[in-house]
Amino acid sequence: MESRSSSLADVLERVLDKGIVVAGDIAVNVVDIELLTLRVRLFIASAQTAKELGMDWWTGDPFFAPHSARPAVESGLAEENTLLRQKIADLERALGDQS
Amino acid sequence: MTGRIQDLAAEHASHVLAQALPAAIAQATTELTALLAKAIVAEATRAQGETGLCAYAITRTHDWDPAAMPDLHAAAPPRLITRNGLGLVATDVSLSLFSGLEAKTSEDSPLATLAREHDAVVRAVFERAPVLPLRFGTIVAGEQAAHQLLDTRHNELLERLALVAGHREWGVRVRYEPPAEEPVEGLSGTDYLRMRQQTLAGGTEVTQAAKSLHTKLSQHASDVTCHDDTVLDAAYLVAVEQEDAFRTEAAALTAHLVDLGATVHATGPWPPYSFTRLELAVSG
Repeated sequence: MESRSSSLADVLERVLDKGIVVAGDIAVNVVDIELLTLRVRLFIASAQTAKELGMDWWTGDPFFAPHSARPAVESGLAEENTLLRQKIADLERALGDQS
Repeated sequence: MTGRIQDLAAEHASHVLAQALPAAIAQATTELTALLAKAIVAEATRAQGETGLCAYAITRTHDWDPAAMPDLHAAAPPRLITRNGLGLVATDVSLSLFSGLEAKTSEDSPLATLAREHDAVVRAVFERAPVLPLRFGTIVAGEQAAHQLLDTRHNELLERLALVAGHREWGVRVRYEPPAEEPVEGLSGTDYLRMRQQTLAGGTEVTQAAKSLHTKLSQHASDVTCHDDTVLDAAYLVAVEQEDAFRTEAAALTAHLVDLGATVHATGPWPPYSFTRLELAVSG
C-alpha cells in the first residue's frame, strides 16, 4: 500500500463520482456529469478491465470453447451474443444522442 | 437662389455625377466593412466568450500562496475567493472548455487533462489546508455566486472541514475471480464436484478475509464509505497519526487476500473526495 501516482481510472472515479455537488441557479451546467460518469464507466469496463472483473469467464470454459462438442449450445450463444452486442450498440447510440 | 443651384447642377451634372459615384462606393464600402467586422466579432465572442468560475474545492481562509497552484493549460492559476472564514478555490474559464468532452479516456484526451488538473488543484490546496473537494465540472456564474455558495450552510461547511482536517483518504478494492477451471474432460463426477466445491470455498474464504480486513481497517479510520458491488470497495478517512497502523494492517491483510487468489487494489493518499457527500442547492 505505497503511495504512487494515481491511475487515470482512479482519478476519474474520484473527481467525477465524489465531491460536493452544487445545484441551483448559481450553478452553470456545462457538462452532464452523471451521463459522462456513466459513459466513462462503460468505457473503462468495456475492454481493459473486463478480464480483471472476471467478465471473460467464458474464454477459459471448455463448455463454451470453439472445439466444444455442443454446437447447438454454441450457436445459440453466438446468436445471443449478437443480439446482446446489438443492444449495447443501441444503448451507446442512445447515450450519444442524449449528450 | 434655388434657380441658380439648379442651373449649376444642370451645367455640371455630368461632372458631379462622375465624382459622386466613386465617392459613394468608397463610403458604402467603409460603412459596410465596419458593420461586417462588428458581426464577425460578435459571432466569434458568442462561441468563445461565455465564461464562468470553475470551482475546485471549499477550504478555510488561509495564507494563500498562488505559487503553490499547478499551471492550468487553458486558464489562469486558481485564486481563493473568501467569505467569513471560508474560501472557494476557483478560476475563470471559458465554458467552451467543457463542451463535447468524450468519455473515451486516453491520457491525452481533454477529459483526462481537465480531470487531472482538477485533482492537482485540490491536492495543492490539501497540502496546506483542510479541503472539501467539489465535483468535477462545478461552474458558478461569478464571484457573487461564489459568495452565495459559501454563505449557504456556512456552519455545516466549517464543521465538515474540521472533521476532515488532519485526515487523508485511502481506498481499498478487493475483487475475486475464481481460478480457471481445469478441463472437465476425463474427470470423474466425484473429482468434478470436489473441484467445484474448492472453487466455491475459495470465494467464501476471500469474502471472509475481506470482511475481516474491512473491520480492522475501520478501527483505524475516523469515517468509512463502502459499496457492495464487489467483494470490498471501501474508502477510509484516516487521521495522519493513525496512518502507520492503518497501512501496516492493510499490508498484512492484503498479502493474505492475495494468497487466497484475490486482487487487491489499494489507492491513496487522497484528499477526502469520498467524505463530502453533500449537495449545495443555492438559488440566487
